[in-house]
Amino acid sequence: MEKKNNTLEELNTVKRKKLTDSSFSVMLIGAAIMVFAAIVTGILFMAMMSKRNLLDMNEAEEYSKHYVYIISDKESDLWINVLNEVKAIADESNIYIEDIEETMGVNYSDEDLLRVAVNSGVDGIIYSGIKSEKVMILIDKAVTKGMAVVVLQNDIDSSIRQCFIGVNNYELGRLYASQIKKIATPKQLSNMKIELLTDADMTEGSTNLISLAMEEKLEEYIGDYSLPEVKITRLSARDMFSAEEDIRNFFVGDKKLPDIIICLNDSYTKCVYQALVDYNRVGEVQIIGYYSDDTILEAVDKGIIYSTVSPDTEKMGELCMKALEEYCETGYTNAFMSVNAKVIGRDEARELLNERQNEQTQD
Amino acid sequence: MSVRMNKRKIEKKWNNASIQTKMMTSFFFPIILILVVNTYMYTNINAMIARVDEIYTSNVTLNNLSAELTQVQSSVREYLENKGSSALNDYYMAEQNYRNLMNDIHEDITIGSQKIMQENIYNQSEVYLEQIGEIVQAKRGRNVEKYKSGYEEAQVIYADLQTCIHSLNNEQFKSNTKNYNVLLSSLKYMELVTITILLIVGLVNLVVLFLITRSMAKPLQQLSHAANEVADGNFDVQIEILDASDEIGVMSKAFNKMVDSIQIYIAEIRKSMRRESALKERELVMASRMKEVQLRSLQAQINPHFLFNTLNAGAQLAMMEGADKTTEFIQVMADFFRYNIKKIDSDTTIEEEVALVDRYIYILNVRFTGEIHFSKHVDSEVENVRVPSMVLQPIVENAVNYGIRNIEWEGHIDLKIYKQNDMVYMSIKDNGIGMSQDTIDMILSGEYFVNPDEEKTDSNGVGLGNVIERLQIFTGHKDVMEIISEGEGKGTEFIIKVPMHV
Repeated sequence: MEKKNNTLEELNTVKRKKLTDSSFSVMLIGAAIMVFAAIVTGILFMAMMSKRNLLDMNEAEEYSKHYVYIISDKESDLWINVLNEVKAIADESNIYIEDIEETMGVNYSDEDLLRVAVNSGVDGIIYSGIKSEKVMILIDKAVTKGMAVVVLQNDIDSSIRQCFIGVNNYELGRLYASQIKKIATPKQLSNMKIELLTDADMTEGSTNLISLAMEEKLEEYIGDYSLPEVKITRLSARDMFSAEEDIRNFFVGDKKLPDIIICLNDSYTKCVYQALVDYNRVGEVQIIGYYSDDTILEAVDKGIIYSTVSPDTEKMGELCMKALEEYCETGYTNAFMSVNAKVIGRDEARELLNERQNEQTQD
Repeated sequence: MSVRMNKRKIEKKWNNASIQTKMMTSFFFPIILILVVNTYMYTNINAMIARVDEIYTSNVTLNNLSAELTQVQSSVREYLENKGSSALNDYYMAEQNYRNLMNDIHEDITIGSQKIMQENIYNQSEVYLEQIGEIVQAKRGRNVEKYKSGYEEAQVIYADLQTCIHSLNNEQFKSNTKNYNVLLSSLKYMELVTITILLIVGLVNLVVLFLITRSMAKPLQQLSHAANEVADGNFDVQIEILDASDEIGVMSKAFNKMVDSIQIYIAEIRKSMRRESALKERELVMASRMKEVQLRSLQAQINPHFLFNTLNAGAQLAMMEGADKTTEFIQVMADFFRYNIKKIDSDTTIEEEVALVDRYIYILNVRFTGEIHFSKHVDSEVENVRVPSMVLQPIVENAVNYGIRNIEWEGHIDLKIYKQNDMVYMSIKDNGIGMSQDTIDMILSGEYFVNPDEEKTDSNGVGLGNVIERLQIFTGHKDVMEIISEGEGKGTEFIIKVPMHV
């Protein structure tokens, strides 16, 4: 009887334990699940909200300086490369580089943009655009107000800009001459016509310097033969598409084409190349281009463009920032900074294209 | 370790809490959790709605700035046209308002490019206002050339400013719209989160409540089931006891205790009833045995009455004739039969029983001319011990009839009555034909019966079985008689054992 009682008690204890455990544990587990669910969803919500608050107005970044760039042909690869370099350096120094045309959201002329920049009291201006009296006055006004003004490519030499950065035109002329020498023998050269396509905004002095350097170099080459006829054609960039139309006019009809066309900027180079192909006149004229974007390099690789002279865009961007910083810090900078240029022939073009292709594949 | 201890403590507290507390806790905890979650969500939603309200404020400010700028420009133009003092006042007012707004915007913090645009607008506005100031001065000084050219310049800057404000407004509208969309989607997300949390909490709450109420109801169900069982008469039921001091725990323990008590009482009642019925049974058996003896005596009563009268007449006749021996014989015989009739239904003393044996031996010796040699040794201390009547004589009769009747040697019967350890031993020993062990066993177990015809002829009607049964009923013990016989021809000894005090 006693044994039976004991067994019953043991049974009760086991069951009893099970009963109480389940009741309390259910309460605990339930509470834990509820609190856990509330916390997890709360945290998820907070995380989501913080992710969504990227546009929070209170997270403004303070910039140490504010520079503006006004570049007429900023869509071209050459200027994209230069500006990329400028922005990269500016990022490191917490400087804001503003494309004022983009922020204005309207199609303003270079002069208008320059005026807005000057009136906005920016710290520095990077300018590569048309050359006019108004531009000169505005640059002077900016300098007077203490802004640093750096002019690229074509110098506004009549202004009091702090610095001009570009390829040395004399050097450029010599590079072109070296290519011309490869195209023709001295005898052939004496009967040739060379067309130099340049920007209307390029100063006469600059173009003259190029042609002078070319002539000097060629004289050594041709010896007793007469120098080839060099014609400088100034294309206006002020009206949209007018330069392109002017170039196409060369190829329309049965006009006699020059033997060599030298392009002094990248857009003219591409334009000439395209016109040659479109009008089926490849081989009738030798082209020496400017800059080395993919289109130009491919043309060089195909032999449609004989060679191209490419300025060092990285260096240009670097010098640009250096000049601005120098002026802002010390109130003084070099008035002229030269950027090297190199000639890219067919072999180099192929090499460069391969390199870029590899880089793209790696990316 | 301490966490586990704390858990145990809380668990113990929880188990010991009253049902009301448990239920209140079970209901209140989820409600409070839902309340907290809701409050949190509500606060967030409110903050968000407030931000939605603020979103387009910057656009409104910029619109105001643009309108105020137009006001400045038009008031200056009006002043230049008519040089009216009210126009000048308007200009000053508009300029002041514009400056205030300008400063507000300048202090406003915005994201990267927009901040730069704000700076641009601020600086251009400074240039513009300066230019306007100079124009007004020139107008006052009637410097026509200057204010004319100045106004043209101011117009250009005004146009630039409007363009810039417009652009900034546009940019801010874009980012504000983005923020607005983000907030809208966040609100939807918040709605989803709230519903999810509420659903989870609700579901878990439901499950917890179900399990907790079940854990509370289960012991109650067991209790009611057990109560029904008890009501149906099954007291061998136990319920699982909660290790808790709440109402259910207390009730369960009390119930189990009650069932235990009922079982104990029932067991006691059963025991006493069994004892009582055993007593009654004994009485009944005793009575039935007495009746049996009485019946046999009554059967013999017809003859004894007639016999007593006859014997008395014989005795008187013998006395008148002077035959003393005959008188004594008849007198002893009459006494013997009278004892039989009188004492059969009650107990008596050993002394009277021995006297009866003496009479019986006297009669037999008269009958068989002194063939029976009888000796007796009775301890005087036990003479008054009470025994059932008619126990010694039937055994002596048995010794005479089956022990020494047909033997060829001289028959002896020895009666010894003595006391040993509060027991009285009555030994009747003969030197007759003896008994086999089987016969002894059969006699003692009550299975042995002598031939009834034989009994009728030469017995006073009381058998050994009757003697043993009456002795057993009288003493309450089974072991009341011992029969010892060493084998055929070696005699038999009957030993009756009765306690000194019954």
